Amino acid sequence: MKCSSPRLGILRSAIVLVACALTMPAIAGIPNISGVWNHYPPLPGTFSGQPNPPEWDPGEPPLREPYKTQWHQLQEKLAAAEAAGHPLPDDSALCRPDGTPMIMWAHYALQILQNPDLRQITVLSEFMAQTRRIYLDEDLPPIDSIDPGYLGYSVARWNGDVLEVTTAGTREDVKFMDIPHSKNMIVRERIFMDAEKFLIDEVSIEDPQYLSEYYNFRFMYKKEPLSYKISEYVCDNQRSIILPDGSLGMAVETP
Amino acid sequence: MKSLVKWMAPASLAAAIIPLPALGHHSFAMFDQRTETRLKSLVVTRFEWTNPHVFVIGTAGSTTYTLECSSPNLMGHQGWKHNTLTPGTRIDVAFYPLRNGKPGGMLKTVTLPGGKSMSAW
Repeated sequence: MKCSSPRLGILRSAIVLVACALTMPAIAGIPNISGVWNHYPPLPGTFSGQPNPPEWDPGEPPLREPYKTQWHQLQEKLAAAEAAGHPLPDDSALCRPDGTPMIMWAHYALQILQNPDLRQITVLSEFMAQTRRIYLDEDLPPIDSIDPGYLGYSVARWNGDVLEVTTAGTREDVKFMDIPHSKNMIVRERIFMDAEKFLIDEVSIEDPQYLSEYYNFRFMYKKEPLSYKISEYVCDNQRSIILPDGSLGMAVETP
Repeated sequence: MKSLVKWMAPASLAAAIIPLPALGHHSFAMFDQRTETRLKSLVVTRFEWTNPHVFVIGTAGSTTYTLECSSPNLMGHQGWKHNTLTPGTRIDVAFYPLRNGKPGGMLKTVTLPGGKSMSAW
């Protein structure tokens, strides 16, 4: 369909424009997942006293020993510090990017862009202004050839209505759920829209060195209206400070 | 950040349930969330519309307070703007104070000169 023609009459132009508007988002039978998405269901208000919805909980990672014990000890240490009012710093407090797969946890909104000319799908994360590029119809290169990064290197193919994404090369110090991982970690994702038009990301982490089985969980997102605007996010006003005892504090203004 | 609520179990169940990390949140445990402090007629000296968090700096008497709010994007969705507060504005505030006794805290609500109340989270 040609989507513009100066020779068309007004009525015909209007019909064509409407038809184009309806059909343009779909790319040759490929599902249209472009748009702004927020994790669903939303988190409760800060002062609501309500727990986070279970959909936000990826569950305990199937770590091998001794990593499992070490991970539990770390969680207990973090919880004790929290209860004592001396919380320990985490990546968020230090203004570090999420990395993969944490970026898909969508602390704030994700904007997904589909552009067939680029042969990639781009995920823009509002939180920390992260940019994730997922290259279409490529094979994953050998892991040793990937420069380690927060997001790693992602390739994908459409399998019917499911975008199958494979990622490797996430830096070993970039941890999801405080879970250690090797340089050989592979993150596989199946991204699709369900019958109710929620976007689903089924994540499966493979890392035999650290995990006894695949670590499987999923994220769910609701699409925002076109009027939803994503804000600039530069993490540059860092009043979170590390106190002498190693805990997280807040720098107060001195008169 | 969106929520203070962690995935951790209540204290009575903590021994039986594994505490899971609170993904994506930095902790706010440095604030005493059982004590709400109220100040009337705090004079705003600076409104920092910044990430990761917005801050209100203001004085009451001879004390300068540093009050942490949510992030610009979430506050923006609730109607806040970068110039909702300007230097010299007198506001009433309710906040959770820092546990270490320093003059600051986690700002809960602001009451503007016209009487309008806004949540800072």
